[in-house]
Amino acid sequence: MTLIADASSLILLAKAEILSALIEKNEIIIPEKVHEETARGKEKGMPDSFLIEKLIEENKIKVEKADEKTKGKVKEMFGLWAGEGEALSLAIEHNKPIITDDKKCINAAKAANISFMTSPDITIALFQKKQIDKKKAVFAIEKLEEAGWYKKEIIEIYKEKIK
Amino acid sequence: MMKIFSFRAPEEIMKEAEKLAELERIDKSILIREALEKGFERIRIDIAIKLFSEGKIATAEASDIANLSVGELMQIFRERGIGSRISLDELQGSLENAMKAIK
Repeated sequence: MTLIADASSLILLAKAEILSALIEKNEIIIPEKVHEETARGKEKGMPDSFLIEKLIEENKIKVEKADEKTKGKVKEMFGLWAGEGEALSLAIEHNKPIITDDKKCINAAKAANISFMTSPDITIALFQKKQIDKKKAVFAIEKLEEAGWYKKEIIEIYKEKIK
Repeated sequence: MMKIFSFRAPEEIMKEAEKLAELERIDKSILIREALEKGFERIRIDIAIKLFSEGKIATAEASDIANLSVGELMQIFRERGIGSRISLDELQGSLENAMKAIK
């Protein structure tokens, strides 16, 4: 399946060490702006960005230009710009799901009738589909907890889903 | 290109600028320029955090305003205890979507 991703999700998936497992059987496309954002992270020495950039160089994550007209509509309708705006634009153009861990982008995706998924849910899906084992899934959720992006009570629910 | 801008500053700030410039053995104007640049860096981050916390901007939009990479800003969010603000309700359907979409 082809999935569109934004920068914060790529970073979280890289931190959780499940990005490589995800791209094994799924195609990931990112817009140019998201690539700019991850490349900037590499320049600043952010370790997760090195892995993301490596996967882009190896063409395992593809970079595409989002249509200007769609970008304009997404900005106008949902007030979404920068990487999330371009990622949602690409998802609309391709009519493919978006991987996002951004609240504003999740709500915009829902309003645009675009299927969305977050990093903790990808972890659980990869585990339930036996793409990663229990140890790796537990490790991934712990890494997501460490990142501090999700509330503790939400992380606890995901931990329960692995048991 | 540098532009000339004059402003009124409290006496204590000017005294401090003079003292620090003397210690650094640099011109007072250079020190004030450096202080302004550093101040703007902080203000950019503070504005980005405020707008993000209020739900007005997305993560990458905040990193654009803060002039930082998304990863760097997420690190600052973590240090300051600012999370995604995503509620459990908002996550409804995400796992089902992932189960359907992911091979």
